[in-house]
Parts: sequence; C-alpha cells; structure tokens
Amino acid sequence: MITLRGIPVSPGVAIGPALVLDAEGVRVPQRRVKPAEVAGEVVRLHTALAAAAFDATQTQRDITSRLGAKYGAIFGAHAGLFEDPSFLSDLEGLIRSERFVAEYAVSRAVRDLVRAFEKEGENTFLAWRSADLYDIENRILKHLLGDRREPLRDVKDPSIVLARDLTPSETATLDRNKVFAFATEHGGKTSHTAIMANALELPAVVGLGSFLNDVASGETVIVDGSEGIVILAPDADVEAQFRKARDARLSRSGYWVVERNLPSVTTDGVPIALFGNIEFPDEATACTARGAGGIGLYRTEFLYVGRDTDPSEEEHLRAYQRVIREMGEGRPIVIRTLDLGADKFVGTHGPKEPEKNPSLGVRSIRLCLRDTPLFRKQLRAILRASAFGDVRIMFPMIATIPELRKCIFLLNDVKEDLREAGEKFNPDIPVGTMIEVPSAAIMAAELAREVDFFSIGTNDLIQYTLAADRTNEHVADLYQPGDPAVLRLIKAVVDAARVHETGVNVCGEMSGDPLFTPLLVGLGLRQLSLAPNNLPAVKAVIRRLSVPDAERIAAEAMTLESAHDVANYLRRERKRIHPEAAGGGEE
Amino acid sequence: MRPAMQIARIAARFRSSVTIRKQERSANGKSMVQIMTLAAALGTELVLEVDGEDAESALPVLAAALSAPSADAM
Repeated sequence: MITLRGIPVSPGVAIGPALVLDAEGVRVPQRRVKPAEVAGEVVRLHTALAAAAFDATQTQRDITSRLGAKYGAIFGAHAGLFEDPSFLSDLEGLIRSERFVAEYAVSRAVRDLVRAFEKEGENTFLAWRSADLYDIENRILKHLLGDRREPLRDVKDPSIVLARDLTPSETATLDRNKVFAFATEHGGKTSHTAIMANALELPAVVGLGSFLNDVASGETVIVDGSEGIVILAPDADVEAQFRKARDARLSRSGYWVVERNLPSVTTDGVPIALFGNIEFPDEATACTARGAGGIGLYRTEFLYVGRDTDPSEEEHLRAYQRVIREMGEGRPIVIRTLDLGADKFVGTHGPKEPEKNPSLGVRSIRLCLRDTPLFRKQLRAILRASAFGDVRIMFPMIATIPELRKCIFLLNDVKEDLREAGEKFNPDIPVGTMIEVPSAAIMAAELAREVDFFSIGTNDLIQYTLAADRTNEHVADLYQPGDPAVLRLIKAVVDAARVHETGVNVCGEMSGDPLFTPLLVGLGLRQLSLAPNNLPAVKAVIRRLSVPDAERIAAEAMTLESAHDVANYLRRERKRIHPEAAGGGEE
Repeated sequence: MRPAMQIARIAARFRSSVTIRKQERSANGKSMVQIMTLAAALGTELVLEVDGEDAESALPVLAAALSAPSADAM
C-alpha cells in the first residue's frame, strides 16, 4: 500500500481499477478496414502525413528563430521522415496488405522503427531517441484523429485514470460513466483541468509528483478528491474504510437532493443567493437541477479556444440564448467577456513574441482593449442577448479605473450602433467588474461608483496577492484562500461595495468550498457563485448558520495570522455547524 | 543537417537507385531511416552502389557526402 498526497481539486471518493496512461498514452487499437476502403485509408494516411510534415517544418522555423538552426534541424529531420521512401512503403504496406486503419499502421510502423533503432545499441542511437519517434507518431495521429484523442474517449471498463498530466480537452472528453476519478503527477489547484473536473463532478487529485511507475493498470486505487489523497494497492481494512466514507457521501448527496428546493436562507432568515459558475451552455442544466438562482459567472472562453478563426457574433448569441432558455424567467445570467489567460491561449490573438511573464502580460481585458474589433463583436452579442433575458455583463481582470472606463465607453458605443441598426437590447443592462487584481481590490471604493456590481474572482486574486503561480505545484502551498492578506482584501471590497450600494459576489473556487461559507457570509457577502456540484454542500451550511454566528466566525478568523490557522479554525467551526457533513469519521 | 538525412536528400536528387552496403547489410540510400539503421559510426567501411542513367554524376557527389567527417552520429 502506498499513500500519496497531492492537491485536491474536485471533491468525492472513488475506488476502482487503475487505468495508467504513460507518456505515450494508451496504444491505438488494432482495427482493420474493408477491402473496398483500403484506397480511402491510404489517402487519409497521405493527407495526415502532409499536414504533419507541414507542422514539423513550421516548428523547425519557429525553433530556428528562437533557439538557432542547430535545434531547428532536429525538427527538419522529423519532417524528413514524412517523405522517407522506406517509412512510406512500410506504412502503405501495412494498410494495403494487412488492411489496418491508418492510425494503427502509423503506430505499428513507428514502433517497428523504435525497435530497429534500439537493436543497434545505445552508442549508435545518439541523435535519434524513441521520444523523437513518438513525437512524430503523435504529430501524425493528431491529424488522423483530429479532436478524437482516442485514449480517454475509448475507455472500455469503468476505471480511475492515472496520468502524468491531462489537458483540459482530454478531461472534457472523459466519460463520466466510464471514469470514476483521475489523478495526475502534474497540475495545480486552479488549472483549467481542475475546473473541468469540477464541472464533470469527477473526484480528482493533481500535483502528486512522480508515481506512475509504482502502479499498473488494473490494480485497485483509491482517490479522495476532498482530501487530496491517492492510495495505491490499499490494504483491505483501508479500502473498507474508504468504501464506507464513499457510500456515506453518496447517501448525503441524496439527502441534499431533498433540500434542493428549499430556500438558501440562514437560520435567522437572511437569504443568501446561490448562483452557478458555468463554461459550457450544457452546464446550465446542472445549475437548474440544483436550484441555482442564476448564473453568476458564464465563462465565454470555450467559444474561442481550439479553433483557427474567431467566433461570429451569431455563434456568441446562440450560445448565450441556450443558457437563457435553460435558466428561464427571472434568473440573472452574468456573462463575463473574454478572459483568455496565458495558460489557455490558442488562436491568432496572442502576443507576437512570447512574453516573459504571460500572467502579467497581455491577457483578458488587456487583450480585448487592444483588439477592439474582437471585443466589440462579443459586446454586440451580449447586448443582443439581453433582449431575451436578465443578462448582465462583467469585465475581467480590471486593474485600473481608466481601464474600466474604456470598457464602459466601448459598451456605450456599441449600444449606439445597435440602436442605429434597430436591434433590440436592454439599454440598462447591469454592468459589473471582476475584482481579481489586488490594485482593483484596493481601489474598490472608487471602482464601485462606476459599476452596478462586483464579483470577486478569488482564484486570480489569491495568485496575484501572494505572487504564487497557481499551476506550479512547487509553490501551490502559498496559494491559500484562507490567507489573512486575501481575507483583508475581500473584506475591504465588501465594505466598499456596501457604502456605495454596489452588488458584490464571490465567484472564485473559494465560494464553492463549504469550509469558507460561514466566513464569507460573516464578511457580509449575500451572494455566492460556484461550480454547480458544490451548490448542495454550500446551501446545507447556509441553512444551518445564523448571521451573528457567521459574523463571529469571520471576526475571529480575521485575528489569525496564517492561512493554516484560518483553515484549522474554520474546520473546527464547520464540524460544529454541520457535523454530519464535516465528519462522518472522514476527518 | 543530420548526416543520414543529408545523404538521403542528396541521393533523392538523382534518378539512379542508390544502395549503401555495410558488410552483408544494405540500405536504400534515399531513405534516412534505412541509412540510420545501418548504424554506421564514423570510420565504418561502406560500399556505395549507384545504378541508373545519372550514375556517373551521382557517384562522386554521394561518395564525397559519405566520406565527409561529421561529429554527429548517423
């Protein structure tokens, strides 16, 4: 039995057989085509080879200009392989005589090459390593498979996926009926992958460090996404204990379904509005199913990533209308304008040269204000959507008052255009700003005069306040929602908003963690926006809490000097407020 | 440029077939992969065979390319 500790990113306990994805991913399955399809398969192969060769040449040029010709030549050699007569005839042979699908032929031909090279011994295999060949294989497979990254989509038996790292799109393709949970060696608490795991309600632990060599596919693994624990080959008594905890958790979520339609009010009758955070229109269903009062954060990046062209105004509008339809009358939907971070960047709008420090560079609203045609297109679509429901608009990553004023100026300008074009929209659409840069939190009183509402984005606020990269597992311990500096900034923002009667909401992951619910209510928050799967747990705390109790907890937490002390204190309080959820023998 | 690839590229410019032999083994001189699997380290004795209409012009060029010392392994 090996117990590993990592970063918990998506709650829940899962027990099941491991599916280990090594660096190569799962092998491409051996499949054959019908005799009549062979010619078509050869065409597919050549199309993919040509595209892959083009990619490799692009990489060669890129690397040559960045690092010099010596490094670029490596990829030149890769490109050379795509037109190698011997490699090509091997590939074609596998398709023509064996009738293998192109994917398998590529996989097989590359593996044969790896074996041939390795047979020649270490010293003659200096320049080419198997990694080169696998890189080439991946390049070709990428074009053959397109977005269908087979390894995860084709998981056959229910399993727990263990991998070095998963991309957000890989996470998004995990089938919830086949994958119980996942655990990765790399990754941080608020990476896009973690957010996706939450959206899919898959227990997940990331940043575990190297462990894949200690486990084989099929072995039993326990993933505790609430505590950040992964256990390989558990002892029988440990497994039994976790099974009990898992079943208790399942029955509790059953209990929460009963509470779904009960109002989110404290024991002394103060309503706390609970909204959902979503990225994809489909997730709106998960919000309504859990009784969300609206959408507090509708991320729109999905419209932009993974494609070569910008989304059209109509594409924006269609996505927004789907959410409006799902949420129905009387439920506000806060649409956040494009917030492409350095870590999510795809497409043509990136900086021309790599930035030394992308998270402090041209991203999010900075990008939009530099590319106003792109920005105006989204503003038009959001305004047009406001004719169909209670749509509100929110600007991300505002750092200064002039930035916010520029956004509002542009919004008014677009309204003018729409008016002239005779398009319907809500002229009084509520406007808000994210508070996620420390400078904005400090200037909250001034910013409050400019907008209708604030939404505190704790993920970035924590990262920028503590200067800790949230996806770097080596400094992830500094990234703590309960850090006293973060609590002071939140309090300052809430106080400033109250003075100016500006609405205020917390939409970071902190608001989805029931541990922090008493603290946030005690600091004066009356609206929280969170991942839909956390809604029941947070509402359960609210319904067991009184405002004076919450205020006492917040006041006490504010006297503590470290994130560690704050978290410990809040854990004790949670156990008192809601013992059956906090404990049940788990903690 | 990597030697094996360099030789394959040069060989591909000629219409003649190009075969490189190392003892009992042979490689298509137009295939980088086959040249690499010959695993000919610096100083290995190789036999170059060129057959075709432009063989006469190809032979000296390829022989020079093969014998040019390179720090890199094939």
